[in-house]
Amino acid sequence: MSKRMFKNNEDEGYGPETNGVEDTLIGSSIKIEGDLVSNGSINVEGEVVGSLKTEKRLRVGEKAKVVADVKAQEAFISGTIQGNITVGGRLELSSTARVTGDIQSATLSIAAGAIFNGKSTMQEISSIKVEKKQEEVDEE
Amino acid sequence: MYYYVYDTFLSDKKYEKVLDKIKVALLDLDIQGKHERLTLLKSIDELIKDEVKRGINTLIVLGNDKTLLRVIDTVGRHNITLGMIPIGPDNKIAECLGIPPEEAACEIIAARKIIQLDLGKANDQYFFSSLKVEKNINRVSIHKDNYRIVPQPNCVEFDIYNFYYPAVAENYEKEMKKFSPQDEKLELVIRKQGKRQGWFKKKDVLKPIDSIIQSKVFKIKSFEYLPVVLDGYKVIKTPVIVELAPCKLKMIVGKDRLKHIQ
Repeated sequence: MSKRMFKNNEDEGYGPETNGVEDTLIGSSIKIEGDLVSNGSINVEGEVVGSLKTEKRLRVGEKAKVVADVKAQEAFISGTIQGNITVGGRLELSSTARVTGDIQSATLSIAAGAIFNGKSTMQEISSIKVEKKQEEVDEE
Repeated sequence: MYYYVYDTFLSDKKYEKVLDKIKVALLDLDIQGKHERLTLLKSIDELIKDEVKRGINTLIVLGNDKTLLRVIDTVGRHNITLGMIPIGPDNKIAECLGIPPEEAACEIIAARKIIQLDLGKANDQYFFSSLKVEKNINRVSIHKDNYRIVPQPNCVEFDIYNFYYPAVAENYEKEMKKFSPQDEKLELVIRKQGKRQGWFKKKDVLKPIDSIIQSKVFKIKSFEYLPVVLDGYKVIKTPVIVELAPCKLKMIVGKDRLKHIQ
């Protein structure tokens, strides 16, 4: 009886690592201002201004706009980025990507149609580490 | 010692037989205690506080999701064990926790399998399920770590979840699967305006999820006092610091609870 409500979804399984939901999903209805640091993957479909750093995968959607320096272990860019990009592993720019800034990555793939203005350096980078600031509750 | 609290709607005659059966089951299982029927004049918080002073260590609520959510704040403050005997409709939380309805729940109480679940805290109020803001979203900003989240014009609602359960089974959203009341995280879910579906609006249609951000602390700020609804019944006003409570909820659960609740 107790699993009736969730029966249809059981196959996909529960638990933190068993589905494809990103740790951070930034949609088109919000704008992030400041330094976004995450130890999980980030999926951007909206706007980010500041800096963006993840130890895992970053995906920037077609309609996303990022005005920030970006660091990630892997990145798949389909939207607009204004800022420098540092990727530990593979960086992929799809045909809709528009990048203005310098790129540093171990592997680079640029699809026909992508716009890239900047300098590219191919370099093996040891894995990207993020130092998250201690989350504190301070009464303001 | 057990303290049984009956929700007001159980005074209805149609529940008499069920309540009798439950009393017999409790007697058979030898888990008796003090029984209290709530009325509009009795404050549930005051009653629990008084009984905690008298030494009860387990509170059993008889009722539905709303009954359970209403006692969370007081239970969080007094570190007592919480159990439930679900009666009537709207018992999705019990379903998630593997607690069968009516007298069958008495065996779960007797077996006393206790797990610890996260609790959320909004300013000085504890909550178990979620916190919602759906008015004047454009005047709100949410702060996390070193950045702030600014809702755009197409943002219509946001919730911060500790424990997710769909009020209507059909509304179960797969994006929410990851949310566990034991992951020591709160999940901020931002919804945007859905597409119009013709003239006849379906009841309980959810607005599509736009963004999901996890954290232990969120700060909600606004230019003016705005209402924030905790667990669907308590209203507090901004600014609100939402965080994971330092204490845990000790809950009696059944075997058939959801896989991600251990």
